[in-house]
Parts: sequence; C-alpha cells; structure tokens
Amino acid sequence: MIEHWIIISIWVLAGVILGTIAGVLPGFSASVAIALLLPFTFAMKADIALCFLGGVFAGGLFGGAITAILVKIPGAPSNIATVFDGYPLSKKGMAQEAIFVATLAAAIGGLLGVLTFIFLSPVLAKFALRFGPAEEFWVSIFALTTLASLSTGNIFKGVLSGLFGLFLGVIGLDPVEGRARFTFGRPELCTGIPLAVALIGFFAVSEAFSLFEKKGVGRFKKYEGRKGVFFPMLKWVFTKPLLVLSSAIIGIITGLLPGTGGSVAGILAYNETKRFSKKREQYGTGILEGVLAPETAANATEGGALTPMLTLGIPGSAAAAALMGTLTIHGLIPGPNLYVNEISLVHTFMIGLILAQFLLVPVGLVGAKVFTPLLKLSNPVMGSIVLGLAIVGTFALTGTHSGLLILLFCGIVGYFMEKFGFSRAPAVIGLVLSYTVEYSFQLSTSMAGGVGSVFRYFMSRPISVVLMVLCVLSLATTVFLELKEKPTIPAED
Amino acid sequence: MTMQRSNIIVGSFILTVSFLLFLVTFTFEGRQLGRIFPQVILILMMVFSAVLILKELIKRTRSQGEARSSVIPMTTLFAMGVAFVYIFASFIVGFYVTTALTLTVLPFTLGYLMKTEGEAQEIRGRWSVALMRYFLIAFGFCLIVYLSFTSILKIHFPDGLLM
Repeated sequence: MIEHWIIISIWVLAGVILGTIAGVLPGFSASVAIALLLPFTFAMKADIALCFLGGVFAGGLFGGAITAILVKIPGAPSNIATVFDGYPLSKKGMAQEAIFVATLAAAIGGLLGVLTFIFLSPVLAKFALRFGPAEEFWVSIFALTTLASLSTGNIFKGVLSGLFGLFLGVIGLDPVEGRARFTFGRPELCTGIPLAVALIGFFAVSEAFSLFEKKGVGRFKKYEGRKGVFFPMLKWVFTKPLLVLSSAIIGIITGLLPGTGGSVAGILAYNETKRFSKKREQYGTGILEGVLAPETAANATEGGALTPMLTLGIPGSAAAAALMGTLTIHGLIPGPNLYVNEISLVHTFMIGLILAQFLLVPVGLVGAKVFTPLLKLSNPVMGSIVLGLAIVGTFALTGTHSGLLILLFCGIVGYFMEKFGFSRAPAVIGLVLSYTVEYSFQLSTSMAGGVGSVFRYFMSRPISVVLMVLCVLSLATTVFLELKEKPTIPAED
Repeated sequence: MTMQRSNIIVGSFILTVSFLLFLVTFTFEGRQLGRIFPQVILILMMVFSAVLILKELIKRTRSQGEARSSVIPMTTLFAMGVAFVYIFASFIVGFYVTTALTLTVLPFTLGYLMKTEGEAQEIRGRWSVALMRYFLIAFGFCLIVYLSFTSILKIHFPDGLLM
C-alpha cells in the first residue's frame, strides 16, 4: 500500500516537473503537454496515469508564470495576466519575489480548486445518476451553447469550430444501427476518429507547425535567486485572504464553464481585483497583488474544469478534454457511473491532485533557475522534437498507418484553424460530446414512442426542461455578447 | 492576405465542403435517424459559414483583434511535406532511421539553411558543426524512444530496411 503511494508521489512529481517545463516553453500549454504525454501513460495503471497527468495539468497552468515574469512572454495562455505586473516587478529587481508569490498563488489556487472538485463532484455525480437520455442530450447541448457564447474572438468561428468537432465525431459507425458513415470505403475509419490521436494532432502537431514558423531562439534571461525571500512572501500571501479567495472563486466558476480556462480566469481575476482595490492605480506598475490574483484564479480552474469532466463527461477546458483521453485509452467512461464503479480510482486521483499542488511549491521555486535555460533551444529543434514525439506517441497508441494519417490531418487542420482565428478547444470538446449528443437523442426518440413526440418526452422531464431553459438563456447571452462586441481574450488551446 | 479576406475564403471553403458532405449523407444506408444528426450538423455549418461570409462582406472596418496577417510561411509548408514523407517512409525505410533523418534534416534546413539576416541563431559557424549537433539531438531522441517505448513498453516500431 505504502509502495503504491510512493510510486504515485513520484509520478505526480514527474508530472509537475514536466508540466512546469512545458509551461515555461512558449507555445506549450497544459493541454499540449497532456496530449504529448498521453501515450506514455499507455502502460501505466489508470490511477497512476491520471495522477501523473493531473500533475502535468497543475505544472502546465503555473509554468508560464516564470517566463511571464522574467522575459515578458507568458509560457501558456493561463499566464497572460501575470505579465501585467510580473514583468514590471522583474524590471524593479523583484523577479524572485514575483516568482515566489506566483508559485504560492498557484499552489493555493490549485488547492482551493481541487477541494471544490472533491466536495462538489460527488454531489453532482449523485444528481447526474438521475439523468436519462433526455437530460444527457440537453446537458451536452448546454455545454455546446456555453462553448459558443464563451468562444474567443469571433463567435461564429467558435460555433463553426464546435460543429466541426461534432462532425468529426460522426465519422465511423452509427451508434445505434452500426452502419458506416463518411468512411468512404475505408474500413479503418469505421472505428471513428480516435480521441487521443485527435488531441495529439490538434494540440501538439499544430503547435509544432507553428514553431516552424518562428525561427531563431526564445528570449532568455539568467535568473539568480537570493536567500531569505520565501518566508516573507509566504507571510505576505497569508495577509491577503480576501484577494486569494475571490480570485479562486473566479477561477473555479470559470473552470466549470466549458471552453474557458486559465487565460479567461486570470484576466477576469486581475480586472476584478484591480477594480475593488485601494491601490488600483498601482496595478500595471509592478505590485505583488497583480501577480497573486491571476495566478490564483488560473490554477483554481483546474478543479473547476475537472468537476464536469469526471461527473458528466463534459470537459471544462481543453486540458480537461485531454485528460478525458487518458480515461478513454484505459477503457473508462467519464460520467456519474465512474463514481459508482471506479470510486477508488476517483479518490486516488483526488489525493494525487492535492499532492500536485503541494509539490508545485518546491518545483516552482527551483524551476525558475533550472528550467529557463531551455528557452535557449531553437524553435525548429523544439518543433522537430514535438513532431517526433507526437508521431511516436500515435504509433504507440494505434500501431497503424491510418492512425498517423489521422494525426497529420488533425495537426494540419488545427494549424490552419489557429492561423485563421478558429479556436481548437471547441473542436476537441465537440468531438468529445458528439457521441453523447447523438446517442442520447436517438435513445430519446426511441423512448418518445409512449408519449407521442420527442419534444413531449423532453417536456415531461423536469430536469430536461430546466436544461432547455438554460440552453435558451445561454444562446441569448451569445447573441447579446456578439451585439455588444465583447473584448477578445486569447484562446485557451 | 488580411483576416477579413481570409474569413471570406475560409467561410466559402467550409460552405462548399459542408454542402458536398451533406449530399454524401443521402448515400447512407439504414433508417432515417442515422443520417439526421450529421445532416443537422452540416446544415448548421453551412448556415454559420454563410453568416461568417456575409458578416465580413458587410463589415467595413476591421476589428483590432483580427487585424493580423494570415499568410502561411514556406517553412511550415515544408515541415508539413517532411511530416508526410516521414510517415510514409517510416514504414518502408524503418522507423528509427527515418526519425533520426527527419530530426536532423528538419531543424538543419529550417534553423540553419533557411536563416535570415540578423536573426538570432542557436548555431553559428560551420554547417558541419550545426549538422553534427542536430544529428546528436536526433540520436538522443531515438535512444530515449528506444529505451522507453521499445525496451520498457514493448512497443514495436516498423523495422523497414533494417530487417
């Protein structure tokens, strides 16, 4: 038993380190890191794999803060708001203080998010056990409408991206009758587009192609630490409970909404804490509060995003969708039944996530000095390594030529989507939800025989009606936001 | 190419492909229900791509967030071509040989041969030194893959000509 936990701790630590490294490297986010490392979990036990990738998730959300502070380049979208005060602090000679605060904020925010996940998810799972096909259908539709309303930049592009993901999900056999659709006579397409391969293609391969665009090496700044900084910073963070709590709440709520993640949470928390702060005019000039708020919020999204993923099978973010891929390659189906059939796995994952937040502190403190030299690697070298890893990983997962072609197809499409302003996250979430939406609709149609029509069947179930109302409200918000020309927030891919 | 113009081109592309795929749905065998969902998705794709095109045609001023260029650089197209060759060649020539070659040629071509004036370069000086360094990185990569996948995970990659 103790041996098992030691193994898990080692893998969580490895995950946090690899996630932080991925975060430090510009262009890599938690989702890219999880997608790339997914094939390595192939031979692991499901609980160890989940804990390892949970560590990657935590490290990936935080790692970019280091470069955001040191060289004004957020390593991942979740750290964009950290630049606003982090870099000015670095210019003032307070880089170490900023990195320490970011590390502590990430750990505390992550911990609060995970605690919410621990307490909220069993309740949600218990509630979701009452779901029939009608509720499953509407909850998936609700996730899709939310995705559309929160998609970055152009709403129509967000919707098109989500629809493209849904379309990819219908390739293969019909879920009820088992007849081939869009296979064009190719038997290898009958099993559909494998989620894990699509994830690696959309996130890793497309990112490799983007790296080939940027020649030369990244910006590198040598970081030297001083002694006696950690404890004063720890003390300072504990003097700001309200700031931490409010930022964490923003992060958790943002994480719960499909398609959003650390970047949205970080910017929201930064803006909101600035609005209510007595020192609001000092924000942007280099104050520690400007690092504490976005980092807490960005890392709190982890717990929020995992809650709907594990309980309802609806990923709250691109990284959560990537984690869902881990469950599927281990033959597990996310949803309320996971809390009935695989409860020990869920508990191990929860403990692993808590452990990851604690391990973030030493990794973060040491990471600034150890990982930043990686920025010296040239972009073509990094791109080649990512491409190589993606191909190796896909071959390990599928072992077929067609799997590699699907990977390349997803990579090229993902690259062009990013190039033309289409976020990749809605496509991946659409692909994840496609089966549930269609299967639950077909089941609802079959079950509607007794009441006359599908609509009557939907209206006969109270939870379904509530979800339908939520869908209408979500769509109305989408139209409202589009008319109001909402500000652009960078994509969370 | 501006983002406004590219939106029209991309929108038209999606509209055309969605329409063609919509026609394909009529060839599906079996009951009607199996084709409804794909048809709904494709109709929505057609509608939203049409809206995207119309919006761009009506819109006179570009929004700040979308004013970026969307030109596809030659380096990326070259990398895509190499990736295609890599996938096909790995089954014929052998996985490890192809991987070592690709991971040497790709960064050497893009990072050394296609360098631009005044750009920060990782490797300066003689081409042979650069090539050797890239080869060592590729060799290291293959070694890690061999140890982790072939030795530990027992995943067998195509041998190709090595057999």
